[in-house]
Amino acid sequence: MKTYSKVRNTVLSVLLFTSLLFGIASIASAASYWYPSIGWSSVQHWEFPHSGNTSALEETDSFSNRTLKPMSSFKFSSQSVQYYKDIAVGTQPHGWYTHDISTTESNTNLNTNLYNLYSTLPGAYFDIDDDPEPNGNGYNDESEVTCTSPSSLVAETDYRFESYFTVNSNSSPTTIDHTSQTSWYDPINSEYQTITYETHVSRSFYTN
Amino acid sequence: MNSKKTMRFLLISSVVLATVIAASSSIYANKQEPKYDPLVAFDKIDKSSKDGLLKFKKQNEEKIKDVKNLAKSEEEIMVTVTFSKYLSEDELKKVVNSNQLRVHHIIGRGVEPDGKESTFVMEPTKDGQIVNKDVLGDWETRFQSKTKGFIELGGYVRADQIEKLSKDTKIYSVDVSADQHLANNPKKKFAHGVFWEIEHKDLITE
Repeated sequence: MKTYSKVRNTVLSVLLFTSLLFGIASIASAASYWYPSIGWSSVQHWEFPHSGNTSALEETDSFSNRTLKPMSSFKFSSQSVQYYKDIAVGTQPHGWYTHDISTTESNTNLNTNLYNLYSTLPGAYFDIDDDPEPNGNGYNDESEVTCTSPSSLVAETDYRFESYFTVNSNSSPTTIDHTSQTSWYDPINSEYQTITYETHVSRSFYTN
Repeated sequence: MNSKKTMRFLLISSVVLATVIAASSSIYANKQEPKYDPLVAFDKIDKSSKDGLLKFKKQNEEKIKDVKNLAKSEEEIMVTVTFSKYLSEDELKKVVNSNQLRVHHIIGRGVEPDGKESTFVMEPTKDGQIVNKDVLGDWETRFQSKTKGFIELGGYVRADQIEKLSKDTKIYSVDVSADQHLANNPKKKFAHGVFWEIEHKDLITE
């Protein structure tokens, strides 16, 4: 009976020690890094947000999973807000404002997880895509949010969009673009197409 | 000679006719339904009034009947569910479990300190948790966003369960317009939900 108790205690001690060791290792290996802000304060297309800021947070969890969270915040002028309100009402088809955070290279192996996206744009509609068309390369490299309720847009206030990319261990150098777009209905293909766009900030990652 | 001429005429006519028929069939075969675009579908909804949004709900009920006729009972139908109010996590789980929904993503709403509303979309965790608490907690912390509740869901439901789903009192509408039985949707894009619209037209229940 005593021997059984001794063995049990030893096993429990070993288990406890192992758990502690893993716990300490997990805490030690989890890490985060903020990429410095890069902003813009002028635009070529007056309808797009006249100023904004971008940054990115990279996190590595205790299992060495890496996540890159690029984000944009931006402000519309009152003329711009009026423009998007006007093109969304009246006779269809309508036009929409979309903010896109995507990799420049469509063959990147960064992967946007749909549906870990966040935005304060009114009536946010989220989408991701795997370029190049038609079948992509198995990694979603494009994430975007469309404001489908521009009647609620307010001028000179910050709107935000944050994307969520899984960083694969063998990620090659990648550039992420923060781009504004206006999409209009294309009657030939019965879909919305980007008619005007402007990349505000391009940021390079993993260049070492 | 006349008979030869007639034969030649008939032969040439037959060849021409066959070519025309073949060409028309080919054109017809190549004529495909346009690819489903959630924004095009959303744009067609009359969102300007309560009546428009109620009409949309009725149209969805008709589409559910259509898809049920086209699909086998065990087949999964692609659905975008708009809830009739802000759901808590427990209410969301009850809706999912009681209707045997396979969740692709959930959409929620928060409010930031300046009063601005935020919308977020999340996929379930790898171990099947519908709400990814790590991701939600991260946003709540960094953006100081207070979660109001869950508003929409994209997922799949068996054809023989879809009418039950659409009658759930916590659901405003089930949109099946993106499903393969009704749309050419190779990229499997989900329909855009209408919670923002029903909320701004006082159609939510609480």
